[in-house]
Amino acid sequence: MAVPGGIKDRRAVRRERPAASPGRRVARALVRETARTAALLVGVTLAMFLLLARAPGNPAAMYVNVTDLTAEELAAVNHELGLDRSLPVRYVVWVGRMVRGDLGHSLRSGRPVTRELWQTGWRTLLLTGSAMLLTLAFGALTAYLQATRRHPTIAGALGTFAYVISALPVFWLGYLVIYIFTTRLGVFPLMSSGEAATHWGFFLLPVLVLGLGNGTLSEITRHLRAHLEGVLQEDYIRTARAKGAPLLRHLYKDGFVMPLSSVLANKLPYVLGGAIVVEQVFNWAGMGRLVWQAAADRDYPILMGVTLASALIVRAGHAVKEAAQVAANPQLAE
Amino acid sequence: MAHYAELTIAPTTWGRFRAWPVGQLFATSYGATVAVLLTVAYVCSRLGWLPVDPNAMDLAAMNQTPDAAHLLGTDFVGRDLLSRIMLGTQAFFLPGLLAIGVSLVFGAIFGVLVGFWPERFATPVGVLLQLLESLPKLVLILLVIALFRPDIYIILLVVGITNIPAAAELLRSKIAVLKRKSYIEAALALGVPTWRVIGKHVLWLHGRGLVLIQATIGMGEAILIETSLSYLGFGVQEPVPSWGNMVGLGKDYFFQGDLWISTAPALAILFTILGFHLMGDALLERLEARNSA
Amino acid sequence: MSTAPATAASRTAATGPILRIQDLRTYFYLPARGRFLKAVDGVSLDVQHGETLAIVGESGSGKSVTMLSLMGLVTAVPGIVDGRMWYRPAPDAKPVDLLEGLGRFAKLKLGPPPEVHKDTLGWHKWHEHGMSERRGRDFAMIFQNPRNALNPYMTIGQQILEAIRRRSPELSAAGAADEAKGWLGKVRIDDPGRRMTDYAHNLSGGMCQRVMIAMALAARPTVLIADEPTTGLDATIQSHILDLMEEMKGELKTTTIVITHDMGVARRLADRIAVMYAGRVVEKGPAETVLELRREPKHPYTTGLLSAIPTAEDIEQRRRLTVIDGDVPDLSRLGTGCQFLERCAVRPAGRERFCEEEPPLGEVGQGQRVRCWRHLRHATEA
Repeated sequence: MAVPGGIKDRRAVRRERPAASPGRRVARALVRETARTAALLVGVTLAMFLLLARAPGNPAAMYVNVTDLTAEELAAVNHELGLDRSLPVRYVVWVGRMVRGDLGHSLRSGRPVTRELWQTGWRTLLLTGSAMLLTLAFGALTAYLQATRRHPTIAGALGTFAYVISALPVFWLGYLVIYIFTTRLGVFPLMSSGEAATHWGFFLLPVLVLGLGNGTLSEITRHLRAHLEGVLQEDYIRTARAKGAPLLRHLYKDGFVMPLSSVLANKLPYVLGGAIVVEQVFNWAGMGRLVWQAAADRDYPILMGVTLASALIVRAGHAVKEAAQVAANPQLAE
Repeated sequence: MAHYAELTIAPTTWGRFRAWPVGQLFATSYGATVAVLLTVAYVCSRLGWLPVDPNAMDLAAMNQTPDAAHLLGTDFVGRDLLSRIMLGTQAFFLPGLLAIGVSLVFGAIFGVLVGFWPERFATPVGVLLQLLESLPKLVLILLVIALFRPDIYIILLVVGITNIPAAAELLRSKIAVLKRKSYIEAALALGVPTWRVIGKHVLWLHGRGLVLIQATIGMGEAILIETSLSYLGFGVQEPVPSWGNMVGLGKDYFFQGDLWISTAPALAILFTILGFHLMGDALLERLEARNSA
Repeated sequence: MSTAPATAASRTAATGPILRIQDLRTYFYLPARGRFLKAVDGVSLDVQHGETLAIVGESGSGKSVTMLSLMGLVTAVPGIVDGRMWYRPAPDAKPVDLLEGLGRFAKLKLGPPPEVHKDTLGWHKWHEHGMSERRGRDFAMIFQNPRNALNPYMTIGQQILEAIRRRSPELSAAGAADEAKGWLGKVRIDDPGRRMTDYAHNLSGGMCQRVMIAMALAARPTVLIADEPTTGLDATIQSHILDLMEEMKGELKTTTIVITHDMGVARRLADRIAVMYAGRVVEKGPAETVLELRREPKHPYTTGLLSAIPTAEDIEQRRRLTVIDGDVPDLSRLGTGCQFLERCAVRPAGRERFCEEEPPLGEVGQGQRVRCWRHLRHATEA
């Protein structure tokens, strides 16, 4: 029982409401991130629009097939689509269409861009997400072994491996892995992407290649190790050791959740870019292959759709990071 | 068993490096060697001093592994791989320098602005830089390629622009550390004009390390992007060699068992990027050590 | 391991020391300078059951490192290179050497120049095996700067519960929570129920230190070590914390070791005092003996420390403060001979030549020991 009239600290009296629960903090963070994303999307769409305005070719081609039209018909189409108006108006009209879900049609296949994105997008998300998890897991393990210096030989081997595999071109690594698993080991026959979607084993290979070979592993490991070494020097870790408390329990939020979520947000664009190459190598029917084809064909609607989708995915990564950090660190929301 | 003993010999000029951890010493010397070799290869290829004509096809000597006549072997039409690899440096060397230059110059400008006057510039610059970072580089480049079909210089210019946020952040954090040190405050209080404080104290004395770091990271990335692009078919086109398209062309032979055609340029990429990564990381570690000391 | 020290220890009265540190040496190697920093260089200390020992000294005297060595928390290399630490949890228990096996992993050549061969990884694994069980059970330690010493990512309650559950894993969740609140109340924190869900940043420095004390005592340790418990706190709060520690001392009678640079703290809490300088103990004895300024025999460093505290009269008369000339020595460049020589205000008259040689920590009567040639007989004087 507290002694009445016991020591009361002034600062404690000033604080009125209790600390917000993790759930509430995360909710507030997500609202903030959505606002930021919306703002950023304005910037991205504006930039894309301005770029597109300078592109060669007829913008009407995005929406209808213009090859067989006469000059008057073309003018009529342009007027109908609002393409003969001023630039700012066109931008607003264009964004309006986008918000309603109309991103135009692929110049190549004629299908709606949204459908193409939807079909390929989840495959790329699956690939990229799993690869990113692999990268983070490997980096965290290696960094932890290096920072605690308990198993120097394994730590050294993993670290060297990280450096080498990050400098190796990911497409060659893909070839090597395919070669080993198909020709040499005979584990999988060389398959085309159609069947690949059903065979879970064939999914592992591109995840492995993208996860380890995306070129960021050495940087992530180094960054995590430096961070962990810093955390291990903290006073509260010393207290935890002096108490005989398990180190990981005291370490995981500051040493893992915080830096890993930052790394996730910062490196997701890299891994997404790497997915373009890996999807080529493995003939994986994802957004990466889609955008490659679109770049070759100058399929602007697809290109813009992929750009938007990528921006959204990157922002989603940031949102995950914010949520994780705000949930872990009680000081962040106050 | 670790052995610790006191040194009785006075440290020499090279002794300064004795204080460096072994890993950093190795990394820096390896990276420096790579940089030198790369420059030599580039200069030789520009001057035409290649061991064998890179375009000379010799169908009698196809798919050979390294031997006396061809130090790195030949490809599927008998062209010498070593010469083609040396020639391949032209695809990224100068464009890479362009990218580094752009990221350094603009990174310095933004870094100084946000570092010295955070109240005024942090938000606008921050928003601009975040915009640059919200897209994957390759997607942005493919977009630009589709729109303008630019050459490799413009492409790497775009890469340089996308690297501005990283360079600016390096400089900004360095400035934040320096601002806390009293001598900057003292210099400004003494009336030294601000631009001179920036120019001399910040950029010249401390910026050189950052330039080196940004240059190594930048060149590594330039190689990565250029080789990925030419692998995808968008960069340098056959018969002009690029390390990326060389790997791509050797693909069919790879699965037949003729691994070397794709592997030789892949190893060139590996050793070069590894050198830049190692050196860049070692320099970054020293920078961080000095920041916290 | 010979049995001679064990029998020697058991030959003392039935209440032998609970802790006996013998000739501890903890060195840090500085690769940039190529020299050893001798943080602890031959320290011997005894702590009796139930007593409070204060280790007093300036920053850099090695007092913290001594206790960190005891806890096995020294991470720098090479770390502990020599010494024994006899621990006897109960008066009738057999003393155990916490540094048992050190000889297998570390070989020290005193030199000069000193040389160390140590298998740091092997020693760490071996030592951790024994010490990890003892930390938080036999030994509990609290630190300075209490706001930084608590985990900012965990609530106060979680951290106290952790200590309680380590000690008594069989307690129910509710039982442990009640005990935690009880401890918070014992250290005079108001509204313990609400405080359990607070974080360190919601608390002031003084309250954080109370929590640390609660956490340490909740483990019911045999030995409590307090490393500068009042440093980093406001002056008034320091006094309150000392009040609390005195109260806990009276109530729980835990054996305590307090590290401090503040003679005032030693005066309030200590039964016995050890003064450290340059990695060695220069004076130790009962508190009244050590603390009394005008009582000889005394080490000149202790005299200097005590004289530096101004009395009321000094303040009224506006006298100049007494200082000890010179600076703390660079622990990587220690010479042979008395380490305090260059700052010594009182040379031993007629025996200056002895100061070239380091004096031993000699007995000068009634449990007091001083490391000064002014009070000891030199070997050459028969």
